[in-house]
Amino acid sequence: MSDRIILENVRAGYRGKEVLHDISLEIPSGKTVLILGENGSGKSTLLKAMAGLIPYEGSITVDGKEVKKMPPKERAGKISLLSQMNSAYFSYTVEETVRMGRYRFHTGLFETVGDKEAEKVEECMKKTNILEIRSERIGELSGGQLQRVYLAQLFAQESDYVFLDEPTNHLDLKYRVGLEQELKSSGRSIVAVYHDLIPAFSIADEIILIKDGHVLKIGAPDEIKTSEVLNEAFGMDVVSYLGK
Amino acid sequence: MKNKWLKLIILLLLAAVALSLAVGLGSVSIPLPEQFSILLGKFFGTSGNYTDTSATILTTIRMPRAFLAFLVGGGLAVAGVVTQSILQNPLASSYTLGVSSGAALGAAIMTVMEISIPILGVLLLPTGGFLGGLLAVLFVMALSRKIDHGVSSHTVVLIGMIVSMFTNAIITLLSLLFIKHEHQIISWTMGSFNGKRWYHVAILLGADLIAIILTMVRHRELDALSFGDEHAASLGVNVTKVKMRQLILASLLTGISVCFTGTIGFVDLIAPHIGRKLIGATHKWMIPVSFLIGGILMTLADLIARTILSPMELPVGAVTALIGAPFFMYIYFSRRNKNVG
Repeated sequence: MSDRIILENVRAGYRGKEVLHDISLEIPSGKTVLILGENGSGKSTLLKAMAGLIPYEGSITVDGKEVKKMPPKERAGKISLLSQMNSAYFSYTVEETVRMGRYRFHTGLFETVGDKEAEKVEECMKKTNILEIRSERIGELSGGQLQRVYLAQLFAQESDYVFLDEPTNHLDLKYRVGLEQELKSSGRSIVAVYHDLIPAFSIADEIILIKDGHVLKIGAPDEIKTSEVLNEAFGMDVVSYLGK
Repeated sequence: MKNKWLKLIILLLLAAVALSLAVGLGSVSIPLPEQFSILLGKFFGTSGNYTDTSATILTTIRMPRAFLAFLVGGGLAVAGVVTQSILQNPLASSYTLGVSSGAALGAAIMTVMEISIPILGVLLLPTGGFLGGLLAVLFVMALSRKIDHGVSSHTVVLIGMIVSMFTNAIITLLSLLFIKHEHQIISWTMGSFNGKRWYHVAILLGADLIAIILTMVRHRELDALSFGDEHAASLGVNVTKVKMRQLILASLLTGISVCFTGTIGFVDLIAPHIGRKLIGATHKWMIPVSFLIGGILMTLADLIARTILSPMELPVGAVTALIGAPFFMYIYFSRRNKNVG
């Protein structure tokens, strides 16, 4: 089976502590799929396991290939991930940071950056509105600017599936709305952990509800929005909150 | 880009100046024109205005010493660049990670046990140094992981320091238990370029070249790793393989340097820091630039060690520590305030 991500009986966690318990689900390509749940429910762990960044038991296949068996560059062509905890330890410039997204395309040692590559990087910086700060050092940026730099790097990677862990964190409202429109119109396969419920329901094609490392429900936003399971996932009456 | 080439060329010129000063200054002064005539005389047999004594001092004492200092400084600086990148920690260096003292212990054990492996010949001590350094860094990393799941910078540096102190204590103990080798072992803990010959230079040049080329080849991976293991992996880097290979190369650079000259701290911490300020963080530029800065700093430190209290000679490790320790504090506190290296 191709063109989708399939998880079968997946268990994963950190240092002997299991966070995801026996998860099985399917994520079709070309859709925007959001993972919702309380803090500590295992949303980020699920993204990392699917991206092949943490060890897992069971099977995770992306377009028919087992994630943990894929060579790293091939995997980077399938999946890119914007994680929640991005920091800048060293003083790279914005442009250098975005260019790192092109890593998987490089084969030679010292080949100069061709016009096409430079254009690609430029295009990604334009998309996230960071062209004016391209020469600035990332250590001197605000949280929101840094987030946009990493988003540009993610776009530069041009992977089939884009995983985002709370991508609108630190973003001002105008950039948040811009990003959400961009995601919606891109036609790409997006899997994102989202914190904000209201925009989540408007941009998602499908929603995965998670609680305590188990999948509670998978369904279309309209279906989930009115479901009692939503209340169970968040431990409060979310349905009436959203209804208001 | 042009700007970066210019900076690299200026550094090359500074390196030439530092080397020329190091071979020219001392109890017998050999000015630059005389250095040229001696070298022309040696290589092309041309006659010049110099004495045999200055020729001998230049070519058999000062030149190997200065070149060795340069290569040790450069090698340690590149080792520093590598460890800082793969640990995402501008405070990491072979010295703060315990690689240097591990290497000194490795070499000391080889010496006191009077181990002889004929096939290794003069490479025996470097091998001991390399293995000792590698074991030390692996131990530090394993212990840091066990204690602190997040392997924070501070934990790694702290454990590195503890392992360093512990290893140094064993070295001191060995020097007392094996009085015959006391002098050599003690000199390792302080570092000195005294009495070094061309074959030391040749071995280190070979090791530096191999390790630096293999590191340059991975400049993109080092860039990606600077952002953290997970980030690098999601960009497509084979994190475990690259990290392991680079740690081995850093230990090779440090181990061989240390077993010839002893532990000399701080150059591997300072040189990458200056390099990053000068040319930015990308490793394609950082590696050669830090190599040159490390070489220049070490050559000058040795010149100071040799001449400042002449005829007495200071251990070069003391000179680098006198300048380096305050510098380390400066980076530590400015980083704490800014949170970026």
